Amino acid sequence: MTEFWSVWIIVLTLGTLLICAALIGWDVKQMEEEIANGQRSPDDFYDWGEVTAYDRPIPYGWLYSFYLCVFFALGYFFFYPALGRLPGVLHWTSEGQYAQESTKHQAQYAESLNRYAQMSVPEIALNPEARHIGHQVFLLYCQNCHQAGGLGTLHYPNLTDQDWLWGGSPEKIEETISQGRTGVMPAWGALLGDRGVEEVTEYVVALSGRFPTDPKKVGAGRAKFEEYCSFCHAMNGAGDTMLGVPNLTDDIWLHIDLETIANVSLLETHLKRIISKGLNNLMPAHWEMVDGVKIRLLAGYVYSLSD
Amino acid sequence: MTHTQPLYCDKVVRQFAVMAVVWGLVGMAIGVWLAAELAFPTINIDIPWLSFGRLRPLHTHLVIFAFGGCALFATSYHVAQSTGKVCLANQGLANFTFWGWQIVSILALITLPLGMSSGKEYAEAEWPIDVLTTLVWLAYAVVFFKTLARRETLELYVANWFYGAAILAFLVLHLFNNFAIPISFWPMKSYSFYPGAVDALTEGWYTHSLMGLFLTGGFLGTLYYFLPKGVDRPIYSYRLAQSHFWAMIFLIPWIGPQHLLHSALPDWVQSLGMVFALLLLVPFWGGVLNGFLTLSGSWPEVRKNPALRFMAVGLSFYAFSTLEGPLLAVKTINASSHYTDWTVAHAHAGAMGSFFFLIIGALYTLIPSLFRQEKMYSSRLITVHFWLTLVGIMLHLMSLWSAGIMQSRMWYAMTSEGLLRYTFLDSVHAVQGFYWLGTVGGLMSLLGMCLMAYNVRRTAKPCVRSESPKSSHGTHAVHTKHSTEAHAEAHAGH
Amino acid sequence: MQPTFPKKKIGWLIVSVLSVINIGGLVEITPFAASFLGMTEAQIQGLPADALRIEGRDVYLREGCGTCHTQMIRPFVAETERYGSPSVLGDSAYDHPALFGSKRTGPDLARIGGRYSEYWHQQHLRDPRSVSLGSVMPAYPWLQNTIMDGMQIASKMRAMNTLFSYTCPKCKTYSEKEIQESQGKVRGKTEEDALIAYLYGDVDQPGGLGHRFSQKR
Repeated sequence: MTEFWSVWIIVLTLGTLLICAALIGWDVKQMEEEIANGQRSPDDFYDWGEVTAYDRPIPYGWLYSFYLCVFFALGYFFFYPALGRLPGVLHWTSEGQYAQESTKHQAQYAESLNRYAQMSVPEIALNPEARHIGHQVFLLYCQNCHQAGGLGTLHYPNLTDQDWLWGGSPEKIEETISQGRTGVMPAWGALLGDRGVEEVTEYVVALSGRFPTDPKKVGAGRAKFEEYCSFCHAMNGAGDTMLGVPNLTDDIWLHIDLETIANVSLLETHLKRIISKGLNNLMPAHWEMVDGVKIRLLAGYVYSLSD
Repeated sequence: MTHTQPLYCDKVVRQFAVMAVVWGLVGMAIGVWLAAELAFPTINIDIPWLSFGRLRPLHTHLVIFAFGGCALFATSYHVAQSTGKVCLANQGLANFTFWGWQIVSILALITLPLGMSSGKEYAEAEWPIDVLTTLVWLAYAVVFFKTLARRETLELYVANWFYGAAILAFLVLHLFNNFAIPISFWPMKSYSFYPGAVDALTEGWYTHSLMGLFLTGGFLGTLYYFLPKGVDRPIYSYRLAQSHFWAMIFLIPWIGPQHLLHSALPDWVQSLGMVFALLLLVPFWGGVLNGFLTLSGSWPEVRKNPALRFMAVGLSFYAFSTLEGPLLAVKTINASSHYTDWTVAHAHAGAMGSFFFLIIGALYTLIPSLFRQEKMYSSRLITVHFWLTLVGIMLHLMSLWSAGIMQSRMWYAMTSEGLLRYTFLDSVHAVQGFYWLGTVGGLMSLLGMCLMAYNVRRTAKPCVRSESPKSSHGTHAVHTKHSTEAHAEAHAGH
Repeated sequence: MQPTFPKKKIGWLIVSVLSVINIGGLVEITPFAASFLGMTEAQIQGLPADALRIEGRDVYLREGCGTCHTQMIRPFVAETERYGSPSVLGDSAYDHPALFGSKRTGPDLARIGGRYSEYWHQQHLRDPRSVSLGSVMPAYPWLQNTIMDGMQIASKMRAMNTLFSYTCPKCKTYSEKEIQESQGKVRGKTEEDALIAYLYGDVDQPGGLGHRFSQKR
């Protein structure tokens, strides 16, 4: 803020306050004088026909309360930032207050968390208090996607089973939580064409152990799968946890809501859409939102879910 | 108290008074619908123009501008004429203000549910409506101030000061706040001229000055006329009224930042907003004191007259809200209350408890004379309306206060490890019951409003005689209540 | 006995009221706007929203999302733990109007960019209760059915360039190339795509809701 605006604020603020207080005070004093001179009496009465009014003196209690408030205002301006660039005697700032609150919060709770800092993820999974804290972190930052109990839903993995896209070891779980993951599958619709997509779909259905509606396409689908899809999904469709690529030979479908699928042809419709348009899933990185110990505790809790 | 009213140019007053009741009903119905949506989020059955986000601005627009605006027009036009003992300055312009204001309200009714919103709180109506509003408002200012200039009484009665300030303030607020670059006429779309936090501060300035100058100005103007008239007693202290008027005018435009405490705005602005809000307590209470001291000794009449009861309750809520407001402006309290339902409760305690109750009382007092009746069709219905609304608003407020405190407690709660104890969704679940209760309260008030509409309809028998066709030029004789012979003569002449 | 107000001088009342009521704004808004104009590039935090996100933000405005969701994180530990680091002036420099909001019926959204996948936003918008049990948010299924034609986006961007030139000298503006290509980027997409693009933000190049959770780490 420039000096000019600072002075502008100071002058107009103090001026407004003082003029306001003075105007009212002057008015009261003037009336007192007029009553003393006999120019008016406290029982003066005005008449506009439908309404009338006495012109009684302003109650002193009201006036002094106002003065008290003005005094409080001036006091506040003395101690706190309000008048332009003047920082106030206390040099208080909202950033400073937040920094103080943060530091105090860290200090207050660091100890209660640090006792878990040396525990490993499996140790945390076995420790009820530690698990409980991990559960609390889960509720705050994970439940919106992974749902209550980590049971997952469409697009968000079930954390209670043994199927892990990126590996289920304690280190991998902690890494996943901290760094986040992206689940990107390219769109194959343009390259494969409609017929190609159908063929690959039938093969994938067969891979998962279900019966495709048009088994004649499976052979051609397999050829295309081995030519294009095996780079990520592996020749046998088992996937790759280094890249987060799912195993297609199980009957777990992260991106298809199986509850809504009564039959295989509905499954195929969804698969065709996925193969054609691709996928872009995200698990956000949590290293910013949740600091180190809490991530460890969270990982311990998640690890315990699949035990 | 005599009931024979002088003949003023009150056709437009009558029109505005009736439409105030109509818009009050519509605005309140939408409010109840919104409350119900919080309790039952799927009741809009996926219809876009019934969804909460689209209808909330419509509710606030209708209750502040359609209902509040029509009431302001009706009462200010009436008071200017009555205390000036003169007819409205320009009948043609006055008619324009009526029809123009109805068009503004209907346009808002249509466009806001369609999503044509500027996104600025209490100013969501888009730019073409803003232009029409400005034209109507300029006409209003001309009619009102010219009427005051033509008055036969020497002194300008203080209620007119408050009305005048409300009119001038809204003009300034409206023009500055709605300054925008238009994108298209249909759908109506514009972008606010101001960027980010500057826009937020301008909005805060607008909303709080709207409450303090426009609504409270209208409230106090109405209070200073209809209260002493209703109990047939003089105002306690005219000088106090003048003093607190000036104190309010000086201080209110400063309190915008109380909307933005603990935000990204600089500390100095926040301090000013808070301190001036606290300073305003005493000026607001000037009105409270004057009101209660005027009522002093007349409580038996208040008990007997349900319209007076409305006004007395309005004054009581005013006393309360003008304590609550500065309290909420204290930064420490605001840290807990901001963003919760407590703010919503405060808005309703002020806008509905205070303004609405007083205006309804004033309308019940004014409307019979506008239809040349001695009194409203049914006094009992007014009493029922009163109790329904009082119980309804208390239910509503209690629910909102409870929800607000619950939310702030839950948002701040920490576990012993320093983690947040509750998710946001937990706080939503916790207040579900309060949303139900609030809806029930709203329904009661709405029912009361329906009774009022019926009562007004039954009171509105066709006028026995119409006004003088020369009224727009003010050349016909103005009759006072004391001149009964001249009164009869005038009637014979028409 | 008459009170002392100048008798027929209505003009005095008008002039004095008009003068007095403008003092507050002159003291608070004008200096603040002046210092806002002086913001540095570093304070402004990056680029304005791209074409699709502009449309998304306009959907946000149209549906009244700001009546229930705020975009202003206050400097309290309880808030920053939940929502991210406190909001600063630069976060909203490109917003016309501001989207700070005044009520949290739903959570603050200032820093949700990148915190939820696009799928989550889709599910949440089409049926909030499918991912947030007990939510009171209405469903917005009609957004996926409205396909945009992009007829207005170029004029919106030009309007914004005008606004930025007056109100934010250090803000970046849209290049002519971006404006020419804007309709192509928007046409054929649904309003749901636009809104999700806005909510999801762009985590690497903040604009709109794309700010990282913590500015300071």
